[in-house]
Amino acid sequence: MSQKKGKSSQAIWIVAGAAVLVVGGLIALSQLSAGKESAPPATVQTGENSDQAHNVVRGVWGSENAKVVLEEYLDYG
Amino acid sequence: MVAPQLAALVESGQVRVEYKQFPLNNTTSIWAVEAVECAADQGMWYAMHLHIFANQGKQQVSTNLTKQFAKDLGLDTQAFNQCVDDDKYVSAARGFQSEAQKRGITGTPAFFLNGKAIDLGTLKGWDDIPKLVEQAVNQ
Repeated sequence: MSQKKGKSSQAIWIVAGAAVLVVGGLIALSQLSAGKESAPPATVQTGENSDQAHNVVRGVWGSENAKVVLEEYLDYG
Repeated sequence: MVAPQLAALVESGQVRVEYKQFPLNNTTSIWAVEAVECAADQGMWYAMHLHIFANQGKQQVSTNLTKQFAKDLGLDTQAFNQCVDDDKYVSAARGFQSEAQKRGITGTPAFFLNGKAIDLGTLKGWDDIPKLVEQAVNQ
């Protein structure tokens, strides 16, 4: 009887251990695939050719409160 | 491009220059918009803008070419290429087209000074644009 009990408790530990491994593996896989879908954002450059150096933000150059605004439409194609 | 001549006025805080894109065709123009916008994600809008203009007419814009430009400019090419391949800014580019069309623009370059279209037919040359801006500042 006690031998039987020992065996069944051993089996429970094995099953629990396997379950932990499976769950851990699934979490690791989901993190890997999430990483593939969205790469970390690229570093914003600040060197001499950068927008920061030229005080440009996505094509806008100058103060928000400027008295005069010149808009230039352009086509690169 | 007249903006460099306006640098002093911009730096004084009196003038703001807004470069706006009007992609005139649905292929090369859109790819070029994507390139500058993807470069902007890395703080390199201006560098890409100048690079594309410097190469205009030499080679037809393609995604392979803009990826090469990104490499030339020292951008994070993995992030740039993914941005381009994902067409992250295609809908923005279409939005630029609609916006320009709604303002009655039919070609480039086109200029607006304090929201009013500059009649290019009245200009003697491109140097007249900084003069008009100066006049507006001094009014």
